[in-house]
Amino acid sequence: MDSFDKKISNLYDADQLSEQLPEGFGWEEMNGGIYEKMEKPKKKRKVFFWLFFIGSNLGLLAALLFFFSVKSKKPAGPVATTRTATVEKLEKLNPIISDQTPIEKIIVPTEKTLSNNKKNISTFKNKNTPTAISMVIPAKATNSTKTIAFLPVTKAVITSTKKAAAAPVIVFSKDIFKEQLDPDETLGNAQNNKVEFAKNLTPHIYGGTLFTSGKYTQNQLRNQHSKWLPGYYTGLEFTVLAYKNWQLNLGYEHKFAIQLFDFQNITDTIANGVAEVLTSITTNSLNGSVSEIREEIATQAVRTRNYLNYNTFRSHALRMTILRNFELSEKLSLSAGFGGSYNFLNRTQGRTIGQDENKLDYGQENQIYRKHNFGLEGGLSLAYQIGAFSLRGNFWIEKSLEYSMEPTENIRPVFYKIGLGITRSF
Amino acid sequence: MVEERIISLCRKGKQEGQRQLYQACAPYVYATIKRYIWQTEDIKDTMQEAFANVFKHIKTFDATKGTFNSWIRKIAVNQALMLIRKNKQFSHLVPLDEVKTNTLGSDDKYENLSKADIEKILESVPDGYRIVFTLYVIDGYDHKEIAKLLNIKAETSRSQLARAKKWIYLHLFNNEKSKAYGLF
Repeated sequence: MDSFDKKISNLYDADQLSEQLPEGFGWEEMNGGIYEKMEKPKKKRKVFFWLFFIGSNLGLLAALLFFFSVKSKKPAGPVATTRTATVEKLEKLNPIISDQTPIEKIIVPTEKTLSNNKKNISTFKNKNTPTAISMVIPAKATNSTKTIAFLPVTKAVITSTKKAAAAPVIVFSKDIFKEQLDPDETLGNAQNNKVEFAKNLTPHIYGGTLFTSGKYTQNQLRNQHSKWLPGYYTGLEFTVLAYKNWQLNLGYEHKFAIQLFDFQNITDTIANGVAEVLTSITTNSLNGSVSEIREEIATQAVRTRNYLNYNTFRSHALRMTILRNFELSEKLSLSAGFGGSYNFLNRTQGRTIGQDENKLDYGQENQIYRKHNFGLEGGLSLAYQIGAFSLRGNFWIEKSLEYSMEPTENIRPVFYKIGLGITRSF
Repeated sequence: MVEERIISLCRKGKQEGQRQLYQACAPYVYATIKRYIWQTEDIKDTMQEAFANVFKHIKTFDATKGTFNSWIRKIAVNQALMLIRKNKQFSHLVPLDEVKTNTLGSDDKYENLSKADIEKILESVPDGYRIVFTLYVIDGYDHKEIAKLLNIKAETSRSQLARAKKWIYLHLFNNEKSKAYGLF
């Protein structure tokens, strides 16, 4: 602190304690407002944060619960367990393998678990075709029956044992159950066909063209000469829940864009000094004396700026989207959706080209973009399937929410995923 | 100095204590806020916010860490800066075409300066410079604290202060050798 600073500091220190309150600032006039502000509810922005937070967690929780509930039903399928046990038991006794002899439709009456579930299993065999097996499953609500037909690859065993004396028992080889008769896909699904957890968290890698907008509210002049160049987005997401044509996806996304501040021959006026100027001369005609009037005026100069600054914008985001797919034809489909994202580690890096000394030195510590923000998004996507890839025409918009702990003048970009995109699903 | 008795009453939430605290501190808080905000309605609003915060958080005041005046001043400054941000008035890089010019009288030595002279000059200084200058020179914040408050780099704060001083010298002392920095 130099002597000039100290002088000013002393001036204020000496004066501030003797400051008088102007009219209208007395306790009587002010206390109403103070108490009102003390009781003011918390800001709305917190609502957005908590809505997003709770929504994300509920979504994840539902996904996890569903995953474990479905998984736990797999080994507990009553038909599969009983049958496998029967196979092992009977094979040890005296397995008779016969896939040559034609057989007629046989009703299986003795398997306890099957009869309890009111499921009838019949087999058909023809000399020239592989063994065909069908199951007739009564539907609870409609009293109608549903037949699931399938072809075993290996062998069917028809046998009777001493222990199961009364009626013949159809026994399938282990391979049939492992490869053909997946209880989750037949009987399991018949019982639990409402919502299914997507198999193995189906992953999708995607990317596409990105357009961006966003204004720097601090400075209008800079906005006039600002433009965003097209960028890209890319990401990895997993389908965690699927119901009919609906999907819930969770994933990560990266975005990249460039903002240009293009100052080519921009001129403005700057103050560059104060000069004392003679503004009038008065001559006294009686005694001949001359008086001059001089005034101090600020002098100005015109400055021309000619440089180009570009900032790279990079963001990382956690994303959750809900999609509804419409199949238009065999290869063409339309999906509509909406979702939310948490963008974090938004990075700025500024570069200046030109000879101007006043660089716009934006960097990680001098941001012009929000470092963190929540976004809401929604849009449409037309997909054309080419093998495992789908080529997409996108119209998808992501708007950043107001919620932020950072200065409000920092840019909150709006992202437009408009144009081409590509997705590879596994 | 605010009496410990008044602070104690406020900690208990007594309205009489709050009234006495307001009467003791309001001129000081008013003077602090007025350095950053000039519109009367805004000053009033900011003062109410500041005192609401003081009454709400007075339990957190720790006399061993500093005086009550410096604690209440920090609250007032923070509140004023919040309003400036909210109204998007703060700009640490102001284009020069928005800068007003001003001239002073015949004072040519700062030993003779008055507070009114300084305030007159400060009125013409761009917001960004003025705020850094006021925080550093008048309210005694260091560059690290200013950087944190304004979400800028400490180096930016230093350069803003240097430019603010140039501006003030230029207008106070008519020093022809002084040149205004490019502000953008």
